[in-house]
Amino acid sequence: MAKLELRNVTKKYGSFTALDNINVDIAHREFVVIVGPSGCGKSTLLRSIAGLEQISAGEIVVGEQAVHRVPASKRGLAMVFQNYALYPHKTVAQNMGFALKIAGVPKAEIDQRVNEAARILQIEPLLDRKPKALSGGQRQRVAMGRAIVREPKVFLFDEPLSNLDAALRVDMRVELAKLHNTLDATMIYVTHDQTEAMTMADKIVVLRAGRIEQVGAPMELYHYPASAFVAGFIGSPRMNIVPATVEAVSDSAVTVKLRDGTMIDVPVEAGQTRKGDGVSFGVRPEHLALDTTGTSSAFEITVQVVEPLGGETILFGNTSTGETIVVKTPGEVAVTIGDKVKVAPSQPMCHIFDSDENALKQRARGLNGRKVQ
Amino acid sequence: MASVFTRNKEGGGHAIRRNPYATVALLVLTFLVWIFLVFPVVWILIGSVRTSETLFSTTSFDFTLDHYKTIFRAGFGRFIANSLFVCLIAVVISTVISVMASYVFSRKRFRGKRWLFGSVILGQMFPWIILVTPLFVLFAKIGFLNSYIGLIASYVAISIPFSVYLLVGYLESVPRELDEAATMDGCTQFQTLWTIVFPVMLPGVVATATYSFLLMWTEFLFALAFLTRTNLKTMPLGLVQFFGEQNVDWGAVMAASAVTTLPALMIFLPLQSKLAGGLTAGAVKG
Repeated sequence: MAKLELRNVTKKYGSFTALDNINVDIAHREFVVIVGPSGCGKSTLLRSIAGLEQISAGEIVVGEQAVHRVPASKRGLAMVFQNYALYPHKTVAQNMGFALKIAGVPKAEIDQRVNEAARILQIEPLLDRKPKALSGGQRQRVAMGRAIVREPKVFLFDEPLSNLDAALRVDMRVELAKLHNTLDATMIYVTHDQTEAMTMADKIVVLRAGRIEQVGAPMELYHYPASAFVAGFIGSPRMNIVPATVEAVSDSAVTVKLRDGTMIDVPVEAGQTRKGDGVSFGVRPEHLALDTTGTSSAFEITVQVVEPLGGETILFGNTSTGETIVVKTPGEVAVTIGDKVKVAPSQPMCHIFDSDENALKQRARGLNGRKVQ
Repeated sequence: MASVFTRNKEGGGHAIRRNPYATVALLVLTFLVWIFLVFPVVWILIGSVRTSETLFSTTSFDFTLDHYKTIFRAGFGRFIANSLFVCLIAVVISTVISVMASYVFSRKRFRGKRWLFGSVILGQMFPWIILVTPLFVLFAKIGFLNSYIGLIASYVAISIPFSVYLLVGYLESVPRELDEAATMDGCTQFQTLWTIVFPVMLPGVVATATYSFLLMWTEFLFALAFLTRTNLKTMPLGLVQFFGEQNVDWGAVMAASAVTTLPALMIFLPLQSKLAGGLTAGAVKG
């Protein structure tokens, strides 16, 4: 196992820049998740690390060795593909041992390593089967087994759970987290699913249009998103972000005025904005609560959709000025479509984004996000 | 023609049921097409075991195997063996070249690829008869007349364009992740092609090889031009000998035609039924 460094990694296809000056340090044993919307370059980044794409500029260092000019198979990495990519004409055991066979490893050792990986993944009874005789989850395990037997320095996962159904995806997510602990391995995992990112990662890299938007621990990104993009991408349901105007600035907070006239104090550091600036106000659905006490920062929404989920209820409503607001409240609530309800934000958990979508620095709440250029 | 399926009004508009008239019409049409396709083959098979006297009779049928005895006494077995020899070697060479060429066209990016692929396909558009004279002159100069080398080379050349075209299309259905997984596993490009991709594309290869074999099996023009020695002649040339200047031995022609179909069927039917589809199952999601 080893650390991995990406230094100024750039990938161009003709005039199109798929990856723009990517810098990330991944520590030994770290589980790093690369997230971003479709087309942001996350798979290209993983494929560049794997050696399936040649980078246009920069360096990829595994351990102490620059590997960006080294063939894929010699980089000491193993990749689990989105579509499994199992060899359909080979048995599970042959699939798992193929890389070792190509490398000229003695058969006895191949068998021993395949059996050990099969034991870890609990697929020993499947070793003589062909991939077509396996379920989706079993194929996924075999694909992981194929990576494990190579004993790589770094595991690469390219959206490995995206083809599984929802229940199996949750199970496999847990399995993968266990596997990370068992193997004590450095893992890089690409996904567009922020839930996978939040639940599995030690560190999340958020990509947008080939650039890193923010790097940080899951809770760091959740509490201190560096931009409206990250704020919208991390967290489910996504953060409510509505236009507002700075009404007052003090040492302890900035007061913003929503379009419906509601005034809300947000605890951001002074000196980042001025009265009259156009900004965006952000608050997560779980940081809004139904208000019956007449809180001054509460604003009214007309409920459009009610989603009772048992343990919580999600309300979709519109403000009087037409912005959509999502509210997540614990338990069941007696609200029906068309009701007008007041919702109040938890002010310490609110965010302000400037006209460039960058977050204004919050007053210290423990963690601190950083925007990477 | 009326739609075979109509909405079931009593069923709330969503369930569908067959329109019986349309179904019958479709069956009749299918039967007519089937008759049109199968009749010549059946007629040849029946004609090959009828005596010459009753061959064209609509009222009488006398069974005989004399036509088969006639063609084998006339050395038709030799022609079949010659054809098998030439065609099998040419198919193997053509297929190996086509598999490698199609892999490059399917997977590699290089300058001039579209132009090169277009030029390969252009070879298929070229009328063979134009090639006969220059090839004859060339083969005469280098001693390839009355030699299977020249004929096999010609057959390989004429079958490659369409084979490449078919295989490039087939390779598009083979997931590229398999190649990439093989690359990660340490395979060279050659190993990736022959140990991973080739087994997966085998149904396409069999289909292509079948096409190439039948193309060569029935080829007449090049064989006529390049082979003049009787002991070297291939099956289509052997078939012609039953067409005399004054009369035609139709019974022998039909028996020879029936025999001609057998090797192709014997070689490819078992392969086709075994390999058609299903080999990529399990490779990727599903």
